[in-house]
Amino acid sequence: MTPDRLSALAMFAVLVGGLVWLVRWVRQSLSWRPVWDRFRREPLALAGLAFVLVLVSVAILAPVLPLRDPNHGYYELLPLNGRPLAPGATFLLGSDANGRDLLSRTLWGARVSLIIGCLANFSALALGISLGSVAAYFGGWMDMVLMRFTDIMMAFPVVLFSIALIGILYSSGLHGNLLVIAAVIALFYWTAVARIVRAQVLSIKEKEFVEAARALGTHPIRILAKHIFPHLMPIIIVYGTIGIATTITVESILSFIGIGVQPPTADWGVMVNDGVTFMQIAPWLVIVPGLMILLTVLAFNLLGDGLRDALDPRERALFRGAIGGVAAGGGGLATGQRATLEPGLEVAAPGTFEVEEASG
Amino acid sequence: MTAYIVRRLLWMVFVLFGVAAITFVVAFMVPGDPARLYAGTNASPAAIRSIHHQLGLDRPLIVQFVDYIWRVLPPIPIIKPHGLDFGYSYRYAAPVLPAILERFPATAELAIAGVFFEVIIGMPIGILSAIRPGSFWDRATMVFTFVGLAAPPFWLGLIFLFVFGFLLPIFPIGGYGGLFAPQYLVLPALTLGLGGAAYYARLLRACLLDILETDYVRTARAKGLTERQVVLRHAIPNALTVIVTQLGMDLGYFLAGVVVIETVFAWPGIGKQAVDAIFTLDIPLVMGTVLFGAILIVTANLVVDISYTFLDPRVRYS
Amino acid sequence: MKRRPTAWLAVMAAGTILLPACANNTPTGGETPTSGGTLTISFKDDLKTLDPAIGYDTDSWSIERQIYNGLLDYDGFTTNLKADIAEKMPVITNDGKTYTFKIRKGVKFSNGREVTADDFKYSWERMLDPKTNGPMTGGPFWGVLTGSADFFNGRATSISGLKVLDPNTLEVDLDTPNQSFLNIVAMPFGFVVPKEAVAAAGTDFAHKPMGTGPFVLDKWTAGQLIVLKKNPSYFGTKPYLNEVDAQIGVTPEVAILRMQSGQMDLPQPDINIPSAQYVQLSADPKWKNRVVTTPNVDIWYLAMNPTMKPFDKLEVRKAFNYAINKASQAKILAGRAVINNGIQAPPMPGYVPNYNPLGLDANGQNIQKAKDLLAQAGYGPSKPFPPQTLVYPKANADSDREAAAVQQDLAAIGVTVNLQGLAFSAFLDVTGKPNTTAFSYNGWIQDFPDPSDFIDPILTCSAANVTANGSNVAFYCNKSADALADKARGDTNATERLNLYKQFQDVVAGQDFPWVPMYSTVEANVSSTRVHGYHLHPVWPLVVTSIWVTGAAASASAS
Repeated sequence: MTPDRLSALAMFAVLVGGLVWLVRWVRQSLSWRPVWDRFRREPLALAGLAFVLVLVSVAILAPVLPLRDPNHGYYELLPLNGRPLAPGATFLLGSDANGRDLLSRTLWGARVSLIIGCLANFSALALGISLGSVAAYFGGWMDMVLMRFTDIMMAFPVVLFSIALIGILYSSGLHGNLLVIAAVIALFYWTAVARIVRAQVLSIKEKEFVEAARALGTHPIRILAKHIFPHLMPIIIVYGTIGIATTITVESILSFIGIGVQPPTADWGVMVNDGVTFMQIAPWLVIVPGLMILLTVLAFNLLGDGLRDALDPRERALFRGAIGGVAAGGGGLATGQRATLEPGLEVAAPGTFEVEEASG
Repeated sequence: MTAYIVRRLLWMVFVLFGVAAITFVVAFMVPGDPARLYAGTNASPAAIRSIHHQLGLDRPLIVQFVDYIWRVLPPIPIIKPHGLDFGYSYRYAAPVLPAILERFPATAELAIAGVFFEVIIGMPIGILSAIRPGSFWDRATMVFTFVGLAAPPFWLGLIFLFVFGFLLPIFPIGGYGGLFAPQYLVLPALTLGLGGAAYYARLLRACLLDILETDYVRTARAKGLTERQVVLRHAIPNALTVIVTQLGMDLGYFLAGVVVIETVFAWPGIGKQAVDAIFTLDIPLVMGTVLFGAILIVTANLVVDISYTFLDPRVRYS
Repeated sequence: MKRRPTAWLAVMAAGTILLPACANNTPTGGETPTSGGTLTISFKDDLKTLDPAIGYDTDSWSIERQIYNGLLDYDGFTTNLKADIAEKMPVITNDGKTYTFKIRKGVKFSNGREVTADDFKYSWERMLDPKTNGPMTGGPFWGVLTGSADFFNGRATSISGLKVLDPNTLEVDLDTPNQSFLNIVAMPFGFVVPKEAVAAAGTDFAHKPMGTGPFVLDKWTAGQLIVLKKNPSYFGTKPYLNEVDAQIGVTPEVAILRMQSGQMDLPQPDINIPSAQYVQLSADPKWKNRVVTTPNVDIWYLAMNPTMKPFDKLEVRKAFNYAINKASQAKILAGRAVINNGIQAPPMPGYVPNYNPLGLDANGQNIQKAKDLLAQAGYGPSKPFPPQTLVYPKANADSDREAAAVQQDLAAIGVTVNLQGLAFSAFLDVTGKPNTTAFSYNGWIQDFPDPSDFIDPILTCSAANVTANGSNVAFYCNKSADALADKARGDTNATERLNLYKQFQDVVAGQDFPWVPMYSTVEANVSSTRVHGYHLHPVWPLVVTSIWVTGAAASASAS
């Protein structure tokens, strides 16, 4: 049992255990049980959840599954004219033009996409939530600085600037580094998250229980952590899922263009790019990885959508504002950021009409 | 209202300044000596030092920054005869801004066409499914919007190219026929617009559903207006503000260069130019395009904001 | 020349004879050529330059050939030289050290001025001037001119060996005889340019060319389109076509798709069509007869710079030579490659068949030996081999796959390789500079049909002694090997000459190993049914003067 496989099995065990614990905790929690019940009644959301779980499991278990090495090209199995093998007995989904097993590459590609997607999304969330809530709570110049800075970041054409940033690093040997790609993607998304969180915190901080806590002399950090943060959970949960859809799409775009993940690492965007030239004689090379991206993004969207509906159907307006804001403020809409499903009424876009802006 | 507009204009100036600052920082992070690239590969060390001095690269960074901002600003009569200097492209051996402007009409055409398709496809779908929630039509559009939002744009574009350009040779296979050759525009604009259409369909549907539940719509219905009148005269106009905001911003983002679509369809716009520039290590051209795109986005936002004052009276009096 | 090939030929040193140039492409059926029409071709990347003093790749040469002329040219599609702007072949005196060219009267630049011998002296000096930054400065080919050394060093302001005896006579003096000098003169570097046009264009002559050729540059929209129009006052055989449109920025796949839809005539005429399209077109009954193939005179190799670590160790370079699976590379090219362990290509005389000094297996490998050699060099678990970056040109879809295969082969012996694909012009820049690139994937196609072309510009010390735009990308310099090449250059005894070149090959591919030679390719090109008279030329990447078109014009012309 190699260390790869051991850690894969261990991670999978942690995942299963964690999920089981989570479900059991939710079922006996007073505030979360109703959410769970509502969620269970949405077939599409459940379908999304199922797909996500299967995908994540496969991604984690990839070293353990009986798959060929995704980066190894079996040139000796290719015919003399180098034609990719069609799906069949040797390769279930066929091979690519380098003799690599497409099935294996597709499943291993899930790992890369999920890793970058999750990393980018969670760093964006972490940064956005901390900065947004602090700025909103303390107000004053901190708030102004944050707002101005996010205004500036949102003015950049996202995909183009990401390409520029990564491209500049291209010649320095850092290209292809997953962390760098995730960092660049997160660089743009945290601003959108920050604005939404800020809006939410602004409205919460006027509530009586917060005033009461302040009157009691509670330390601001404690107020933020104990009183305000729990009210941000719904946003975090919904963004945590839908955001992954967005970041995965952006990552696939960067890889497709050629400055994201580098060969020979298997990645869906790279695979589509590689397959374009063979579209006429081996269309599965383009169809399969593209379809995987579509299904993954779809699944996360459905999941997030369902969570949002389940979390509080009454406060849909609040969420609409929130989610629309991410989509709009995230920038470069048609180039991938539009992975959210239910856009908002009060679209929190840079500089556009916002209740807080006009009054502050 | 003028106060609002003035505030917005000041905001725009500030944001653009910030963008220029960040662009400057990133452009100077480039590994390698810009002077050497500029001077040409066979230059002697003395020549490079002289170019270094000419380009002002031996001055303190803050002086270079101020000079950069000064060069970027448009020319002002008497005070400043030259301007709009976005840098110098090593690969083309020409200033950056003219190179961008040469390719910009193609991008603009694509952007406008993309927004057009978004509206043409998205709005009717959204309206119809809001009117008949839960019906077969509503479910069908839901499926469409799911897929439209989830499909990666480059993949969708490739499938379109293959099916409608090659298998059924209706459209040309990528490329550009000049500003007035619509057959080249259809597939890329359609790909661009489809994702957005899905979004607008849902946006409209959500807004309309909300509006149709409000008191004043109930009043209108009680007054005896037909459903069609209710929708057309009361519901849609209120939803329009949101749509228009979104459209304005979309246009801004599209104008900044839709890299993916331009690459797949070999559309000679500023996005593709920037991507090509990356692979030829032409950093000034890339950063110049970024700056240009940011200016467009900020301008689009400003226009949307100002139009908001006309569309939504509440803003004027806040 | 880097990249691009054409047809077959065989060569002998003193005087050239050929093999039928159109080996696989018989002229399409005996129809009479029609005048007029536009030919649409494509290039993937924008051309680097149209300045003949600088252009050294097949893209540039394809178009330059239509805009300019030189003293000599190749006769039809053979490898025989004939006089072009010269009235007749030069008179050679002084034991092969003096060439006297008589220049035809009445040859005009497209601005109307008549060409004189002064123009040639000016053009050649400009081409060799260090200030022009061209690749011929420093002398891989032209260094044999008397007075060139001083000119390169800046000690003289003109080349004493170029003498204008009268407005129509140019005398060229060489230091030592050079059997391939006439071929050198026929290269695009020898094309004549008008000094007033160069002065008017300033630094931009590359984009505003002017010559004497059958076509003139009508328009060059950067990154989009190049339009050539017929030159009505051309002195030579007029072409049939009125116009040539070159669409730029079109990937080969799209170009071929367009051809199949009637929107393109010659997709990427100067390079091989990508493997996927080759497989597909060869299987398509409608297109398989439009595909023409012919062996190329080229060699594709990995260059390892012995002046940069870790390639300074001979064991390392030898290890790499045992590690690469050349059969995989051939498969990636859809079988259009022949494994080659030497430095000369199969059609070239002096080629040693079945050359295998290292005793490699059928795939061109011996993996165990590769690992052993690395261990010998001191690398192992305690001292892992430092990761290397393989720089390669992103010429087409096959390039990425070829590089990936090399990456995999080296991973099998414990070497991690990162891939860096660059656009061709950027690739030329970084590989042409000393101390910049340690490891790269290169191809070299003949400039002219002589074995010295595969040695002098790319494996000699003078070729390594450049500051930029060099072609000796391994920066290989071995003085004793150089001596062999020097001796062979002027040797009038053909057999002895070929022998010397074989010895040179033994030093490079059997002893020093600055390269991992991999394969020589077979060229495949395709043309649309409108095109007639399309032949692959032994030397020029594209010859347009023999082509005529019929039927409706290809419709996809950009504005």
